[in-house]
Amino acid sequence: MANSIVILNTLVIIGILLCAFLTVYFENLLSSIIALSILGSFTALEFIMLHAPDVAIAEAAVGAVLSPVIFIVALRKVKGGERR
Amino acid sequence: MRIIVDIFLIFGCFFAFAGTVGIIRMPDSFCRMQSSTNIATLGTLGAVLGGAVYSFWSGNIGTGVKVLVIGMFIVLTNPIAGHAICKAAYKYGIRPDKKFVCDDYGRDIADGK
Amino acid sequence: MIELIYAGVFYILLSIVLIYRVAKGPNVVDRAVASDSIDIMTSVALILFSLYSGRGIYLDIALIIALLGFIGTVLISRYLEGRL
Repeated sequence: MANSIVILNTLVIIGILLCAFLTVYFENLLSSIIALSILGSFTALEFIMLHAPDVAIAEAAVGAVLSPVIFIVALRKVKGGERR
Repeated sequence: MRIIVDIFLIFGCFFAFAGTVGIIRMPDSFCRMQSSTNIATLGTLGAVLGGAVYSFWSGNIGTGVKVLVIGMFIVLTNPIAGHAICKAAYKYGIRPDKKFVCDDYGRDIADGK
Repeated sequence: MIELIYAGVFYILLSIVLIYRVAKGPNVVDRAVASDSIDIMTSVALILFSLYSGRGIYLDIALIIALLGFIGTVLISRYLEGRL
């Protein structure tokens, strides 16, 4: 019973590490923002695993959606962010 | 009653697996969008119905109603997101691999201008 | 009911497999579609974990992830379409 909880925890941490690597790795800025959104969603699930639902609510609202929205609006303001 | 919950969960897991194989293996962007819709409707519906049956059976009426509301929200809003991103992909300049037989949407855009 | 947590482990495993498509998508639309699917499957795994652990407050986080991930996908499509 506790064994499957440990397996679920390990899989979520592997997902967080992969998404954090992809966020730094991409050249295109919109792809980086998409990877950041997935990282926020996985981080909310990890906070649930650690029995902290109040932090998880704030993380799911801010990390998964609100900061990618602000980044996309900023990307529109700088017109794609092409490197010259 | 436990067997009914197991059948619903296996149904959902099978369709989610089929959608994931479709997203990994399909050759084209629009085919991948079709597999994504398969995950969001049938794969979600199996797990949500199984969870609702389990919750009603163990006596928590409020939890079961909340699970059903979440499932109904996902099933209602995902076709809207699929339609929006498909239209955006066409306007972004992505075309299927094979040649078009007929291109009604492009003709409609050209007529509108 | 141990099968609930088994199904949750299976959904998280499938979403980690989908990170491959995020890493190797030829264009941005494939990454956005895979990101939408990962959000929905994380929400379903959270529902199953909440029913297993027997706390009703965890369902609110699943509702927030499912509701705001839709807004993120529609915003990305509006950005690609060119009228944000």
